[in-house]
Amino acid sequence: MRMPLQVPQIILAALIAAFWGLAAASPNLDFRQLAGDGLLRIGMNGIFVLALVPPLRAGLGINFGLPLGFIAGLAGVVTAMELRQRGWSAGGWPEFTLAAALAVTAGAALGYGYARLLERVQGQELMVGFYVGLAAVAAMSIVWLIAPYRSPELIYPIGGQGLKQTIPLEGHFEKILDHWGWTGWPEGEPLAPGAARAPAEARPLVPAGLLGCWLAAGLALAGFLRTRAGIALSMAGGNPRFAHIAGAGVPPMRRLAVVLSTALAAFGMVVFVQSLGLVQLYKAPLGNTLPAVAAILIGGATLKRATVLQALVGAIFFQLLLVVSPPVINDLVQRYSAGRESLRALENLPDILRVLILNGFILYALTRGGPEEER
Amino acid sequence: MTSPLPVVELRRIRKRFDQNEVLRGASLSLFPGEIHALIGENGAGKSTLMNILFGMPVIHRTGGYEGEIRIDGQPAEPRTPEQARALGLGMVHQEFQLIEGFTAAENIKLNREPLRGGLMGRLSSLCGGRLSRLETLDRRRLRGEARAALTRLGVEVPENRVIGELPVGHRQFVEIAREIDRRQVRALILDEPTAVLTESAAELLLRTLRALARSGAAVLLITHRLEEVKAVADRFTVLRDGEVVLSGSVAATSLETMAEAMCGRSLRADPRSGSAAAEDGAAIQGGSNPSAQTGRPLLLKLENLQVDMPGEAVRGADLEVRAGEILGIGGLAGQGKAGIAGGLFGLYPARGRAWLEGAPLPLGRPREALRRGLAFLPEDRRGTGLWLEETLALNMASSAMLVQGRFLRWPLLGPLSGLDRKALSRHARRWIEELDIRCEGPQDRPIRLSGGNQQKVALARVLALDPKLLFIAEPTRGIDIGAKERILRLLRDRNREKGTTVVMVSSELEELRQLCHRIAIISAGQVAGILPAGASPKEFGLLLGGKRRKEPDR
Repeated sequence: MRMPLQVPQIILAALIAAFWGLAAASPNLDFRQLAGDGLLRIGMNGIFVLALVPPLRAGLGINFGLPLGFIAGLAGVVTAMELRQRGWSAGGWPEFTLAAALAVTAGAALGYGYARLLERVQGQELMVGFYVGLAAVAAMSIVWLIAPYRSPELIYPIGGQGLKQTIPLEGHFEKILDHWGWTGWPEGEPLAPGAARAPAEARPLVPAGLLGCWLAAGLALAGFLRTRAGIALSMAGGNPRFAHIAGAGVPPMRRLAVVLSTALAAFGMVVFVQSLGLVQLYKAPLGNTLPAVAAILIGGATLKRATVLQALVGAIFFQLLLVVSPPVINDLVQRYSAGRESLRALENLPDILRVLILNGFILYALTRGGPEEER
Repeated sequence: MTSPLPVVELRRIRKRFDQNEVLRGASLSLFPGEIHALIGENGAGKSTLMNILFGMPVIHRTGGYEGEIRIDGQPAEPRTPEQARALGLGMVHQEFQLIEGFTAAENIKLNREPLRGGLMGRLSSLCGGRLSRLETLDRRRLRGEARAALTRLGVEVPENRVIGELPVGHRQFVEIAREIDRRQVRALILDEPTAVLTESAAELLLRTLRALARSGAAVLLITHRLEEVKAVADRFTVLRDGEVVLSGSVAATSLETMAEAMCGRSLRADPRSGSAAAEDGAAIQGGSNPSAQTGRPLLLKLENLQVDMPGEAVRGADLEVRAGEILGIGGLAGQGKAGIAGGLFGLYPARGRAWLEGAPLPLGRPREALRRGLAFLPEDRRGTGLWLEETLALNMASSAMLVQGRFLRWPLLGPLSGLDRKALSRHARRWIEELDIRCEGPQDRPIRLSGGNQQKVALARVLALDPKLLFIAEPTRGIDIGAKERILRLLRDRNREKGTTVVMVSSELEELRQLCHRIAIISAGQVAGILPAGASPKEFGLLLGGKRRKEPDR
């Protein structure tokens, strides 16, 4: 717990550094764009990883119910957009703030209900959480269809009801955090695939606002964990029987952990959406849970203990690895498979690797941090 | 009765686990047709002796034993339970060894099922019996034989019912039926068979045992219920500290003599004489009369407390704790002494009523109990008493910080106030010095400390609360003698100087008698009686043995 970086993390760091070295050395790859991508993705997904910390510390294991928070976040965003359309809010920062406030409120409320459910299934939080996530996304798909949103931007043009699958955030608070950043190397080569964007819209190399928001959330969480409530929460996870007789109040602390996690996930979704520039509804929120889980595990957390630092480091490692490995491998394959048909099958390798890294880490952590390792 | 050849003869059996000698030359012989009672306190060596006789693997894993076992006069050395069974021994363990989802009949005939022959039977015999596991069972015969075994016991148990649906008493009979169903069983060993039974079921069991003995089997009954011994046994052996201290005919020996033999050594006539507690004890107690305690105000009252602690169930205990006293809670393992505090603090589901200083105290709400001046140091030091991976400083301050809001930097922020790490360290350093805790300082972790030092850290947590009433369970278990003395002295000083009321649960009667003013003995989940510390070993023995005091002292 005291040593944030253990052997697996050091090996990983070396691997990541090697990949980035290859990327820098390759003439075919745009290092500047890759680096920008990596930093952007760290900021976009980082808060999701942080959201996993409180339940892990409270002894609830990995919160596979994160989609509940994502749903709350999306609801906050679309509601804020609708309210803006009706003239109840200005665009830009007020709208973003409103979306975040609505998201956190909804996340806390959903989280509380979810926490009460988890109390009844003690010992099976992981599995139940997983299915709660799936079920909530499915249920919410119906809600998106019938909810009384009116704004033409949001709903299907034909039929006049039901939110669209994908809603662009243009003119609302698209990239409001990202834009507040350091552009760096302005005379760099043109951004090859993203060149469709107007140069003025070109995103900064270091999305300082986004990363700052992520780090601020991490600092706030770390600060909370050092307060009386935070210590009681960690105690409830570290040794529930001790926590019980010492007066920490185990069930309330577990509830608090789930509420915090869901609210953080909701806020994280607002940040994610502003960076993506799109609101993706229906089944989209399901895709964000496993990467977050893999990230915190890569950071060195186990089912029994997790720190904010591990969540921060994990987010960095995971995204850096994910961003750089497919193009580098692709590049290598292209360069060395020239003329050899048999290697053409390796084209899919990057995607396979992505899945392997993600699920492999989850599997690895689930098998070693399991309950049978307790004392 | 003493036919010339004993079925089982144990001669000068010795056994040590590491440094600990648990059997020091115990001998015992068991004759056909008799019921022999083996009596002793917890830890006297009864179970070890039986494990040796029954070839339990734990004995051989730990280096075997010395001495000789003779069965029917022939030297024998059972190394596995199967070998012991082949020698004609049967054993009924304290924990049932039955398969819940099988019927009673299937359990009785387990692994000895009659087979039907048929196609698989013929195939199997062609292969030299190697396929016997695949043969079909002859269910009718299986039922019939199980039925016969149960009838021999003289009990009505529906043999076709699944074990899980049978009451506990019936399960016990199924266990016994399984053991006697093997034709060659000539000696049956029962380990506290009545401990889990209701009174009527226990009576039926005892009658069954008598019938079994009449039919020629030898029965060895391990028990600590002296009245049971008196009721059924022909002869008895008392084991104490691994030695046989008394044996003979039950008819010729009084209950009191057995009780005294059972816990005689451990109790000096008056443990307080000469000790520092003597004058003080006399002052509080008004001599050795426990009723003098009624002069002090009532602090805690428990009424009909029932606690579902596995293995230590409390079944309707009533207890009064008076302000300023040290009350001991003693009793044999499994009788429920450990469950009382655990139930009060919600470690186990509990029912009943409690009052603290006259106001009702809800059960299982440790925060409220702590806030109102109760503190609890559980017996499970490593699992419950400490947060092993955290610092000593946080362990010691945790309750005071959580419940009383001490050691906080901005207390006005409530739950969001930060820890005052400096105050935490200061506090820890003070206790480390006061209790002489061997460690590397406040940032050390309990997981690295020895048992005695761990206990001191755990103690510091509850003492930091400055409680009115301290519940402390097995404070000296598994720790060295120096730490033990220090902890007991600390409790006594706290009681005398600050007037802290202490309720101490311990399985060591001697320790309770040294420290406490009064001692409540728990038996069968209830308070069997409360004795002054100076009461005679005989009185304690009788209460431990399950005999209720005639005159309630409340």
